[in-house]
Amino acid sequence: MEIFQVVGIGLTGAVLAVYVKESNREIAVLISLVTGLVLFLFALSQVGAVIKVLVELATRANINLFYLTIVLKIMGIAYIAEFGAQICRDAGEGSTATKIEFAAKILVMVLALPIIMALMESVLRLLP
Amino acid sequence: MSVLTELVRNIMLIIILTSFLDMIMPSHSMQRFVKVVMGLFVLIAILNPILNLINQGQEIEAFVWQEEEFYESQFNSVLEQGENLQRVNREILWETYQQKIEKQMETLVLTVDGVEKAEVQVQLDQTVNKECPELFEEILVSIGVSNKDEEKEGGSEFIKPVKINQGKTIEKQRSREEQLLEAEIIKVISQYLGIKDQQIKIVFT
Repeated sequence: MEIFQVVGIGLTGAVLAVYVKESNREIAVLISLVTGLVLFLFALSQVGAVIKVLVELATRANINLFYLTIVLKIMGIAYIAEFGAQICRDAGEGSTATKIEFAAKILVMVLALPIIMALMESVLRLLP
Repeated sequence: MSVLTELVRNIMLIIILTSFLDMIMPSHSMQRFVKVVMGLFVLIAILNPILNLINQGQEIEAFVWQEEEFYESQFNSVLEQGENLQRVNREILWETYQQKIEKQMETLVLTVDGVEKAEVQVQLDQTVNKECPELFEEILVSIGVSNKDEEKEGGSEFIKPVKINQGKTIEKQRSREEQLLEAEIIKVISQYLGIKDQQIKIVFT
């Protein structure tokens, strides 16, 4: 059961970070960062199966895979940005976290542009 | 009816897909953005089949055009392969013909009295056609001549023939012999193979 591994790693990291936080705050941040990275990579290894199912569903629904790829990319950006922002907040760098989120939002908007354009075109074609 | 059934089926699949995507959505500040894009994605996924249905003629036209292009490209590639094969075959044919004609000419030249060795190099004109029926560009015949004088004079193995250097007289005599031989070879080749005299070049080795 992978969930036990995940919870085990998470709890160990948390306990270590809390224990070290009293004496050395910087090391505690590093511990939480490493724990987060390990958990993130572990989850990432399982994402392949989910994406496979999503692609299959999209193919069956005759959806252009280009749009699905964009949506998946946007989700990836959102996750990575949130991960980075939370680490920054844990380290007490709230302003950096906000900037990371801002950059991620811009990137999401840029990626969403083809979908918006396609939608605009569809609506215009609907009108006589 | 079948179109409607397909449309409903597609919409159902899109709903399942989006609910699946909704499950893996991040939970905090980025959620709103991702949701907007997902909404657009769902809209486009639903609108596209409807639009295709409305502009069906146009879609079919585009499809046919694509198919035509596809077949055309396939046909072109097959034609290209065929042309390549033809070119390779033609090259092999020319090469074989050249080798055979060279051998034939060598044998012919060797029949001429006084010729010991013969090597023929034929240059073919591969652009030959009805308007320009000349097949041979140039024929180069390298000849090794047997020395009859030496043969005649060297009667004994032990006594070498004594030669008195007569200088230019011998050279003149030799060139005279060579000229005669050259004329004879050219005559033989041109008669047997119907080639113009000017195309044949003789080299004595």
